[in-house]
Amino acid sequence: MKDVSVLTGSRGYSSWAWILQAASGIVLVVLVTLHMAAQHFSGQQGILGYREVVAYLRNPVAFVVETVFAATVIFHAFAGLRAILIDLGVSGDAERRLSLGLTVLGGAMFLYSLVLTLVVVTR
Amino acid sequence: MAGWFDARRRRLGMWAFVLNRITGLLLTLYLFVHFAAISALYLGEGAWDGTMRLFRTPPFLAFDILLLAALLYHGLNGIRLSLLAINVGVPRQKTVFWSLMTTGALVLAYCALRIFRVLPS
Repeated sequence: MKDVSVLTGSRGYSSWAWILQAASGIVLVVLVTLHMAAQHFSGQQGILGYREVVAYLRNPVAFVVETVFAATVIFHAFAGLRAILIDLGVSGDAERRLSLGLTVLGGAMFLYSLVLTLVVVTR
Repeated sequence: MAGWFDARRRRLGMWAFVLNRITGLLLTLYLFVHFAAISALYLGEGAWDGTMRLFRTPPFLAFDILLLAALLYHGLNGIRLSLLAINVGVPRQKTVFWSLMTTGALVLAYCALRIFRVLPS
């Protein structure tokens, strides 16, 4: 494998972080395609109405796909944001605080999406 | 960050890298907007369907196309970067880049036609 820092331009950004970023990105290409096809290119007038969304999310396969999609997109977005900030010079204690803050924020966003989905499907 | 926009002696790969970061930042910002929008599901059928009616208006549909363009660029360029990392297509990376961008443009054109066909008559 090439020295990925050449590709990312990042300073102090580990190869493992880049590999996880790339792997989640590849998974996202598939999941975004599924999400867009199911949620934005189907249903009446291309965008799902409330009852169609509820019926879709009550399908166990769709529930799992959307939950994995939420987790993956949040991870990919926040890992990318972290990489950019490290590249712009965040390091040391600031980097540790940044990582903790993004992990907490990402975790909160995932929990929010999970609770929202569960509330909708159990109504 | 100002260095991202310094055009002196900038090669295609570097522009691709800068655009990848810009689209990544825009998509991350959109993620927060998307989470706020889907909160209408919690408020019930009236709130959701009202929000979706707003999203079917031409300005929002045009925004959808810009969003899709950013998504396609970021995804396809990400595939290119992953291929380069495992030494696939390195000697022909410009060809790989332009092939993926052409594919993205065709997909975007198809999706734009699909999106604007949903305009209420």
